[in-house]
Amino acid sequence: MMSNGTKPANSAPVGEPPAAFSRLGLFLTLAVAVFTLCCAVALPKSYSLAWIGDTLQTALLAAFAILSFQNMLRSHAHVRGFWMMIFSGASIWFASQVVWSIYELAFHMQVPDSPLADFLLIAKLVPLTAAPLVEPHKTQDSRFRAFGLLDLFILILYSLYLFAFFVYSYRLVPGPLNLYNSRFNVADSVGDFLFVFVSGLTFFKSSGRWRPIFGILFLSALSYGIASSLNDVVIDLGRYYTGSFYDIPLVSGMAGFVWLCLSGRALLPSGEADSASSSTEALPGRQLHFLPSHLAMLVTISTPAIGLWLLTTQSNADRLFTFRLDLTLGTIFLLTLLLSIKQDLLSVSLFGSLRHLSHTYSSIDRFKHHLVQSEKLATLGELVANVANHISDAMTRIREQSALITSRSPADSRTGSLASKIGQYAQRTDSLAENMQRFAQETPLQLAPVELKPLLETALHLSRIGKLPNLNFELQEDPSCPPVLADSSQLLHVFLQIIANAIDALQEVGGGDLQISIRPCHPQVCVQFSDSGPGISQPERVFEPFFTTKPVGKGTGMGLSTCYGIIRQHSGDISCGNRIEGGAYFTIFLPAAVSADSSARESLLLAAENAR
Amino acid sequence: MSLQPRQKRLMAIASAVFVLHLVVGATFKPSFGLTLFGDALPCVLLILAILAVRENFRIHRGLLPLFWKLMAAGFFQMFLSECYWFYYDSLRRHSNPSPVLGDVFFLLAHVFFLSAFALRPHSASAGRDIRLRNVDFALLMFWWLALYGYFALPWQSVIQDFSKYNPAYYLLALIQHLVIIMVLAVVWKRSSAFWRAFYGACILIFVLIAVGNLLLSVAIDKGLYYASSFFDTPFLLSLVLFTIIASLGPSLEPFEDKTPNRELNQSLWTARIAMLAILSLPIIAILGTIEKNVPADVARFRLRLVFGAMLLLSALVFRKLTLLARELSHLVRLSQASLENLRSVQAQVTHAEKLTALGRLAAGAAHEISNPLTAILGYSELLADLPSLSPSDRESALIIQKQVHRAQSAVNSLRNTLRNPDAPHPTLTGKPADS
Repeated sequence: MMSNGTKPANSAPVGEPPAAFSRLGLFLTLAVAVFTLCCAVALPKSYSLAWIGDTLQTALLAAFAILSFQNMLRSHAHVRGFWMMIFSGASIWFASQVVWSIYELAFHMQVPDSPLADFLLIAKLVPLTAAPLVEPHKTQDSRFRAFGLLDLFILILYSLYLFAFFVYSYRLVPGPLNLYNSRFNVADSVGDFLFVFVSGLTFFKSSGRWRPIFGILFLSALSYGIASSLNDVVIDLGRYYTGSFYDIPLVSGMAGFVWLCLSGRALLPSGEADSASSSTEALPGRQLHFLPSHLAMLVTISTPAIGLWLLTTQSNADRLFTFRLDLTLGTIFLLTLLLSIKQDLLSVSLFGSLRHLSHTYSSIDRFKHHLVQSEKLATLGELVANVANHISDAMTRIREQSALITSRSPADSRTGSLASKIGQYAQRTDSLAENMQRFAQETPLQLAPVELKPLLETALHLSRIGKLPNLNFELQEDPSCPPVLADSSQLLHVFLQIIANAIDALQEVGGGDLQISIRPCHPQVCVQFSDSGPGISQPERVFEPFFTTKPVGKGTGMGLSTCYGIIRQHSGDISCGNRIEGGAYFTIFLPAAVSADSSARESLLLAAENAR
Repeated sequence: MSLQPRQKRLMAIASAVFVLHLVVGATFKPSFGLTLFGDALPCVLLILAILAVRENFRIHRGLLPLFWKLMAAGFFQMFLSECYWFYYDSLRRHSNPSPVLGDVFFLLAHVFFLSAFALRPHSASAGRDIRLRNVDFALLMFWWLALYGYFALPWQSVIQDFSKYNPAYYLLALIQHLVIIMVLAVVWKRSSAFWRAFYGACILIFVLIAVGNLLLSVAIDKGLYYASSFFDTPFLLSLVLFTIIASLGPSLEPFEDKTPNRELNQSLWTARIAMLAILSLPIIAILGTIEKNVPADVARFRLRLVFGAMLLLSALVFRKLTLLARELSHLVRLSQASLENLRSVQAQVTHAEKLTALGRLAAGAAHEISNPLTAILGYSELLADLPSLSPSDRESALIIQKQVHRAQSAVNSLRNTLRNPDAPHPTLTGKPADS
């Protein structure tokens, strides 16, 4: 009768099976249920039926354990926590099933009564119930995840405590185990109910791609819960035997868990992306006020209350009382310890956040007033473009006129030569203006083979280092050096910045030398700037945004970090340090243009594309 | 430091009462009248101390108001304790009253003193996390009461046994005094100038109270004590001293801590101590179950007490965790917002930096351009000066000169702007071709 109730329910929520794995799982579940039904109908109670039933159940649980173990290995972070819980539940279940099968098939008897076997029977529910509480479908701050795990440990500890207090302690009462057995059955039912309740709650509250998984979990839990309570009744009536009708919900439940693992496996490869995209409700604040946290607090408070109840209801100091008292005191200690750890973690991260926050605030404050200054420069780009436009327009006119004059005058006359000189100079001015304009516009990275020496000469020229007193510079190039693959205007920016820094440093000490060398460094080209200035106080921090050694108002601290960004965009590297003989050096590595085969070039272009 | 007339009056009365105590103690033999007098004296002195402290409530500097209120609360607890003794000894003429209520008030008074000093009122940066500290304070207070209830109380409420009650109670009081003196020594070491003197005096006061209490316990043990005897003197003297110190309150000024980060660590450690205190209770109870020669009723009372205390303390921890979690999620949200803010500032600064670089380049380029412009101008002048030039060519030369001037003025305006970014930008509007 029960089979009709479970089977359709099993197939109901499969709206969007993630992959073929999930369909396989559904098929397996249905097949197993139908198979059990057929066996129960066709075969009478016999050893072979028991053999079929036990083998099937053991195989299903083995598959469950193995698949969840695989899922655990393949997942990360709290999804792994989820599968870890599922796996521990599966392995405990498998172990108790193996014990059962061995006794039934090999020794032809019921499992003898022992606390361990009983414990195994009920213990699997603890990790299985805890698994959905890990909340694998939510992304959250790692700190908050740690709090969630602590809460979970508290709850697990508490459930073990309750079992020991209300069930296990009755084994200490002398005489038959009737009381213990009835208590055990109650505890088992409560455990089943909690399992079904928690998985159901998670299912109804979840959304997105994890929802089918929780749906399967819920149905399996339901199926198992029905089986467990049904079996309790039927065993008491003496009508249970392995392979009977009554096994159908149990076997469906087991197959359901296998289905769960298969569906979960299909979810795994895209698991990362999925959890990132479905993080709409990742508000950490809300998270903490959710069920586990408050539940953990309530159970901690309830333990001393149970202790008080124990003291008021039981007056004789027998073994049961002593056991329960010590158990309660020990549990109070452990729970309070866990809470203390949680509180300490909370406080530490609170103060960490406070410190971080004040640091951020001071950073913001420090650079806000720079912005006020630089706002005045905001229209500079426009201005430069405008000026360049004016100049090139004027030069066009001049070239027109000079061409006119040249065409009107004889070839070797003085007029003609003067006019052609004017035309040449106008041409040069025009190209300079064009350079200026190009710099004013923000252009995407345009990679082309660039000769470094002329570029550096331009940079040196533009920085007017030669016009400054007491400053000498030297530019050396290895003649075998290939050109580099770079965007010349961006690279010029970097060189200008580093040269300007060197000039500042040299002027600080009243003058000195700047040496620039270009040498091949296969498959890259290395440019080194070394100066005889005072050196850098914190070379490891120079490329951090906002780091500056200049007085407030002079440097924003963004220059070198911008350089770093540009060089990294070029797939190059920039580093700096202090020379042993004094002064600082900056080394830039850039990919050489000739060595870059087409694929490397492509990837570089792609990187530049992405960087934009 | 100037003293108000009211404060001078308080100091004078306190000193007079103390002298009266010395005189009466030296002249009279133990009698009911002397008991009455001896029990009334501390009450009077405590009222004077509270009045002196009350004067300081008006000071609004840092944590000082809270500090003085906690001190006043402590003295009020002491006052209640003394009133209790006065009521039983003198009015009810009870020969052997239960000391529990008086002792509890006395112990509680010290909890208030301790928390007052732990505030470190000398620091201007202290007390940023005052809400969390409230819970820690409550935790420690209940824990301390639970210890009293565990070690001392059963020998009064379950079994009347003074020989066990007294040592337990006086040991607890001694521990409490030592802790206060230790805390005072720490703040004394960290403070300077006037505060140092203040804390030094406080150390003296609490040493006096501790010594007085120790003497009292020995005297009671040996049956030598009677009210208004000289065993009361250290305690009364400490009260007089405190009245004097409290009168100097208005001259206290909190100053800036040199290491504000220590503040955070401190409250972290306060919280840790509070949690350790809670953890100690179940351990004490477990050790108690092992102890054999304790009467069953006492053991049961203790267990009940531990369970009750744990119930209360875990509820407080619950409160604290909720506060912490709320604070933390608030902070996380705040820091996310500020991080975004920082990012936008960073982007703006990067942009500004690019513009600065552009400015530098533009300056170089402007310089670069002016050279060929000068050359063009020179050649065009030479050209215009040529006598053989045709009129149309001359006109062209003039146009060239005009265009050079135009380009130069554009370059100059750019240079001026770069040299002085504050000046308004020159108007280079209009289509370049117009001129």
